[in-house]
Amino acid sequence: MNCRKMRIDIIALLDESLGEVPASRIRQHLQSCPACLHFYEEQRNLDRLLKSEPQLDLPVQIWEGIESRLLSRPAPAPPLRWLGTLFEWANFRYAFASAILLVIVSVAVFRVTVTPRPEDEQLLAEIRAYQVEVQGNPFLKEIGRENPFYAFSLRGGKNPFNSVRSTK
Amino acid sequence: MSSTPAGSPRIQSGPSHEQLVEVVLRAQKGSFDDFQKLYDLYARAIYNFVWKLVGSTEDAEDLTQETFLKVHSELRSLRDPSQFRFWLYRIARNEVYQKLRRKQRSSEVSIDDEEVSYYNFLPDQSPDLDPERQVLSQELQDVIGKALRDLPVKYRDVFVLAVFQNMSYEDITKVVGRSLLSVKTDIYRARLAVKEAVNKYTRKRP
Repeated sequence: MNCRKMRIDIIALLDESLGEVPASRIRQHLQSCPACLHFYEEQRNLDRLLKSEPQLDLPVQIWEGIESRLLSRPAPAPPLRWLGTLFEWANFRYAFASAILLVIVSVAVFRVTVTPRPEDEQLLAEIRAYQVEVQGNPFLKEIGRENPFYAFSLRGGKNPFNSVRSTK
Repeated sequence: MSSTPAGSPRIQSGPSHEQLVEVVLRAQKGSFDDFQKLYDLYARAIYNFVWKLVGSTEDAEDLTQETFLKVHSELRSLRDPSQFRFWLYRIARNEVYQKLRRKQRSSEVSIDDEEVSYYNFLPDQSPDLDPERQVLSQELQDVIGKALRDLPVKYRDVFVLAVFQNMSYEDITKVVGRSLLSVKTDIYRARLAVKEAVNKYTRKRP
């Protein structure tokens, strides 16, 4: 039998923290193990010695100090009941979650509908670059009068067929 | 400072569990009278608990006061009023730990602290004891006090709760947040250390 483990339980027995079954097991062991019995008696004597130590009385100034410090604290503002209800944690939690969801949905919708796709961005950049080139070149300008594609470019991307018509 | 004979600090006579829960609930709703009732019920036990841990009556007074001020300000955050006692001890223990950490950082242990130390504190002696036995008793208390002070804090708090606060191991686990096995082992080690100190003292005596 492991006496060290038993001794941990012997202490627990002295501290009245052992269940009935392990306690009876320890008592049985004590009857058959003189070393553990000696340990038990030593610890019981120590226990008596420790518990004979005096307990201090509570000094009255502790409560006086608490009372004066609590009374010197500023009185809390009267609660705004409607505000309290409005921001009651449960409600506030749902409101906060809804607001976040709304923001996420709005951002997603904005991105899909307003922001051009990368390929559109690239095409627009090419058209703008071409317009600059055409406007700076009188020869190409002249050709453009006859060519709906150039005319479209010169007029900043307006309907080339309209442009053709307008040049006639 | 007066002292009383040893007795179980466990609240034996007092409100029933249900009444206590009611008191805590009313105190949570802001009743100052009920907060005072809680103080009346537990302050002495907390004061002695803290005193055993820090070893100074002056520090124990401050820490008891801080503990109850914290209880007053945070009582609403206690979800289960039936756990009030363990919650209270936890607050007191945390206050002690903070104090010990501050002391350690600033090496604040001064001569003044030593003078009011529990370990040098003279309790009222029984008039029945003859002078020699009184000296013996005082010396033994000093030895026990010194042994307590030399214990690591994690052994000291569980030992004080079990021996001086008469708390069951199951309850101690709720205060210190450690497993039952760890609590049992630490109390065992603490008792061996205290016993060893007492043995040394008795061997030295002629």
